[in-house]
Amino acid sequence: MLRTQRNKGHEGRRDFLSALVKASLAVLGLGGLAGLPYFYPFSTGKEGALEFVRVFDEYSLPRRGVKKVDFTFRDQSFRVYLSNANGKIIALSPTCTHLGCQVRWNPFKNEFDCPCHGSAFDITGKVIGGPAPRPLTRLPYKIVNGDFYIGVRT
Amino acid sequence: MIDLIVRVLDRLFRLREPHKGFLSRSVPVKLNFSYCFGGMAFVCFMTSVVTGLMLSVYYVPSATDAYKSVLEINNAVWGGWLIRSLHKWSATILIIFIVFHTVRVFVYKAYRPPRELNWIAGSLTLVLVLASGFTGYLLPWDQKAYWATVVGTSMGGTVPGIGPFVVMLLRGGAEVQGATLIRFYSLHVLWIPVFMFMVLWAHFHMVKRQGISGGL
Ligand code: HEM
Ligand code: FES
Repeated sequence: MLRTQRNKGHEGRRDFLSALVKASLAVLGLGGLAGLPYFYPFSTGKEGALEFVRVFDEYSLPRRGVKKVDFTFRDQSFRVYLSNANGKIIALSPTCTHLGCQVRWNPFKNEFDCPCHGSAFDITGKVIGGPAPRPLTRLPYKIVNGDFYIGVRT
Repeated sequence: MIDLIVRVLDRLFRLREPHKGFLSRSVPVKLNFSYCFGGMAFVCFMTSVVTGLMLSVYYVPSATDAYKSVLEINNAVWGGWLIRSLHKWSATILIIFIVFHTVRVFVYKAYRPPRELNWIAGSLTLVLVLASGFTGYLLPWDQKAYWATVVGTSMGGTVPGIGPFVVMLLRGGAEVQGATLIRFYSLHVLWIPVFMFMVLWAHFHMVKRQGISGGL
């Protein structure tokens, strides 16, 4: 059985509720307006601006082969492989281009091995095996006044 | 001001008159706040719909660009981080409210005839919402998303007999890959919302027709 209550003696409550509904609609409308800039294609400029971080002086660069460099910058830790194949330094990101596992330099086979699905990259980052679709990402670097800087995006 | 807008709209569309019965219908005497859980779930659902539509403006459903586009939403789009958080949290809280709502219906025995069918419709919304959560979780295409989906879809493999077939069907291939992302994206933004709206419409229609059950 449905026991019912008609709004006798509840006019005040009814008015209050309808005022509440209208106020909510107003808030929603204003909220919608405030959200319009979301659709406008400008950038907040927060996204990874390239910044150069000093890691060591240029004499610490590898003469040949590969050197692993770990450093922190703004509370984030970074790992970069510096490789010197034939006199030219290349800074490589260790993030596998397949699905983003961290590759390791294997000095016995002279290649970067990915532990996840077996991708392999040569000393210049070129894919020599496995499912990786692209070579390892090369990072920008610069040498200023004998100091070696790596470009990172935070 | 709002009154004016409401009056003008009503003048144009005359929505108030046919809904008189609904807007001033009878309700049980002993209502309490636990009867609000269904409505609160609906508010969460509408929030995830609106914010989801907004995310879809920038999200790119492709294996190469999905992750990048989510980063862009977070960092470059004005208010994008807020919309993304709202989407995630409204979806999460939605599940909580659905569970509370279900408990309320159960405790008040509101599932009894003539409302059996509405209990079933309600259960369907829960299944759809869980499916939405599962498919949506893959979309950022980061490590957590990828491996969660590898684990989740592999559970389909335990179905006796047709297990391997189920996994292929879920993944759109032998492994979780680009095809899985597209498939989940389609489910997440098209199939599930369409079915959700149909089921919710039925759910609310039955509430309207049958009234709210009379309490304990
Ligand atoms: C019409 C409705 C919806 C649309 C159009 C939509 C759209 C989207 C889009 C484009 C994304 C990717 C962006 C991102 O990852 O942040 C996403 C993510 C997601 N969606 Fe939805 N969505 C809808 C409803 C729902 C519902 C009802 C749930 C309920 C559980 C849900 C749960 C999720 C989750 C868990 C994510 C991942 C969020 C994250 O990682 O931050 N979505 N949705
Ligand atoms: S992530 Fe490196 S091979 Fe798959």
